[in-house]
Amino acid sequence: MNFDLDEEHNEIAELATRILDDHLDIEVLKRIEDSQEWFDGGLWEKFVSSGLIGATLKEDVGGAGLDIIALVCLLRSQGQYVAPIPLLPTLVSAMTVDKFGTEGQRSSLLPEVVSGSKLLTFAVQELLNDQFMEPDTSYENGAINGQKIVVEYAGLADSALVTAIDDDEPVICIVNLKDPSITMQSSDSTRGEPLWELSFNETPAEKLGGEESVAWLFQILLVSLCAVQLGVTETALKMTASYTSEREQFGRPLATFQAVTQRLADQFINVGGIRLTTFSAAWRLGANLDALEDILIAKWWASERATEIAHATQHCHGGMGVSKDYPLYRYTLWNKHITTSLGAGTQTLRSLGCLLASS
Amino acid sequence: MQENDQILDSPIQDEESFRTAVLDFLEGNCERVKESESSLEDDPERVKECRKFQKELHEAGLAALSYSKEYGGAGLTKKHQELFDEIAREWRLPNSPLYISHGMCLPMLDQYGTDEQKKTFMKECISGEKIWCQLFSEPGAGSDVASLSTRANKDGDEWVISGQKVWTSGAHYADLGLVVARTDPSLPKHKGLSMFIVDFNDPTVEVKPLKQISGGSGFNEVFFNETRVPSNRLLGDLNQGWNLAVSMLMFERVSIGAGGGSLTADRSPTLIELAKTLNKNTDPHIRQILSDLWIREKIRRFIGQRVRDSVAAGRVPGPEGSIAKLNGSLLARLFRDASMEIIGTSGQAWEIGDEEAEKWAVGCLAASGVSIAGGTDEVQRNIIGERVLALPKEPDPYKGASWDSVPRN
Repeated sequence: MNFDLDEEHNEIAELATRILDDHLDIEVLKRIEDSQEWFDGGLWEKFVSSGLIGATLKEDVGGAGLDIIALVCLLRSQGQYVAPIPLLPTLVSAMTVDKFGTEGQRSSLLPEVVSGSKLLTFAVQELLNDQFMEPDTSYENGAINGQKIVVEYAGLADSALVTAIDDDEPVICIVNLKDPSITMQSSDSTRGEPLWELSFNETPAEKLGGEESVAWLFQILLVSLCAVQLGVTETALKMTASYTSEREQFGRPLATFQAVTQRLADQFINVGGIRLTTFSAAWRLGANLDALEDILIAKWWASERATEIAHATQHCHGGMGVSKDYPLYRYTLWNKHITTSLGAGTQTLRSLGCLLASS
Repeated sequence: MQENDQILDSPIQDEESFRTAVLDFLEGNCERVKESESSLEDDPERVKECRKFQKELHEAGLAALSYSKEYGGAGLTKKHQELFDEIAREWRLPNSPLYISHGMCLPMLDQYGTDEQKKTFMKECISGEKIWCQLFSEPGAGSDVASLSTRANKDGDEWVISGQKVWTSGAHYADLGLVVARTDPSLPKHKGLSMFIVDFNDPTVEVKPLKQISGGSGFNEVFFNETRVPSNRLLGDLNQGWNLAVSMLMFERVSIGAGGGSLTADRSPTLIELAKTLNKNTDPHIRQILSDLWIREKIRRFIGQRVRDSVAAGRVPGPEGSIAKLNGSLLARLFRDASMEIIGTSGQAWEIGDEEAEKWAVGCLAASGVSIAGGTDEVQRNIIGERVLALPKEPDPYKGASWDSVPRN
């Protein structure tokens, strides 16, 4: 069996990495984080002009027709550099429109996403309701009513995919975020970016797909979160390995103390687990195989084990781990953000338990 | 020891009137709370509030209960302090900026100060008029704090201190600090250190706040640029600074792990309330987490009680401080994970200005400092291994070598 990535996947990962490496440094990150929007427009422009935003969309809308593994490669690179751009919301939303949309929906949204003139996001989480397939937001007669929380980049995106209930069936709707019937409120967040609370009041909405599309969106979202977490944890561990190799106490590098080495070796296994389960889940989803079980396992690793990685990497940095003058803390914040997105360890285990019990 | 134990076990003579006095004061000056406030806040308003509160507490004769009246204490017993702490746990005392002054510096002054030093410093420390900080860690000396390189050179009747300290909690509002500096580099690293009382209003002392992951700035970098200190500000004996530092660290560990104050208050009740509010109290997994936390907090209370009783009986805190500190650090992580598990997405984003929601996220991020501050978990485990279990020490190739001949960074 060959577990290596294909040539095209390696190429796209290398291209993304090169752009990120050229563009981002601590000063750029600080500037973007201090801004209201938390959006690096220059970096986004480079992703657009290199064809990375369209890479995973079909060719007729200007894309390159690559698969979900390519999506994972892109998001993993973003995680490695903790790059503040709406890659996940835009790509996942665009791929969902690409897969389930009518010709009209695809052509009205996707070419402009590929060309960089439109940003997309999704609004799927609700307060006190962790049932993705059973939203309280309702769809009726071409309009939605309800409330969504922790929406990323709602202040910048043009359209959002919103999950709702149509009679008894969960559906995805396309909503124009500039519509005056929407009330938006930004909130503070752990990662520092504004996250939005959206209230829909008879907001015009166009149905994109039914139950199948909602299930697919749930799955690709989880895979995408895992992919970002993979990049985040890989870099955090790499930084910790080099920090503990350089930092000396008691006349020798910290990394020569067994308590440090062994804890970091455990984290290597944890990162490896996230990598394997994420790629396995992504591959199954892309191959149209039953993927939910693998996806939930991957999300468990990307939440529960990732938490261990965050704590170990931070701890082995001593005081530097909590200082904002040292870059590691960003990786911890991203890690926490992803861990709690769409259910942390317990919620994921519960879903997995239900799945296993019903099979 | 036996004699002390007897004193400890004997009831307080004036228990009822003392209890009434404490309750009267708390009712007049504090709010009742279900939970403790977080410590080491950087808000200047809170420091002001703290000073005012402590002044009133002192005037009411309820501050530093077991310390001698001569030096500004209340001249009562440790048992009184125990009782006070027990009653005060139900209240929000706005005195967290004094945590280091009273938890670490005051016992050091009391134990090692000359009569003159005690008379000069203890009363103002007790009354909150002067706030203290402690300065051990340096950029190159964290876990290996004994290798520190801030120098104190004798110049006539003065000491001249030069060097940099880091992670100094509260230095930005402190009036005085206890500084460990190297007085003889030709001695082995543990032998050539001394402890000094330094005035933080001196313009050669430069304090720079550090920004933390949780958004706050509780600690600082501190630079001493040839700071001149009169020789009567040496605390304890010359070149005995390591012994003082160890005993101060023990006071710190006891404070963090077993102090009985806000840092060691039970937090599971708050979490149980949160689970109820969010309708998660029927979830079997959440219930297990809460039960586990509750049990562990009960064990912490027992450990804390043992440590405090031992200190109250006049024993110098020993390695049990490490057990308490390590346990406190494990509990902080357990609490953090449990709170994030219960609060879900609200731990990720909250309405601007919603302090109640924000506190969970900030608390989550602040928890990681607990396993570092006051000696890392690894340092505590080594101490427990060597001093409690009597395991052999790790071989040290530089044992006995003079500080200036040993490599360091």
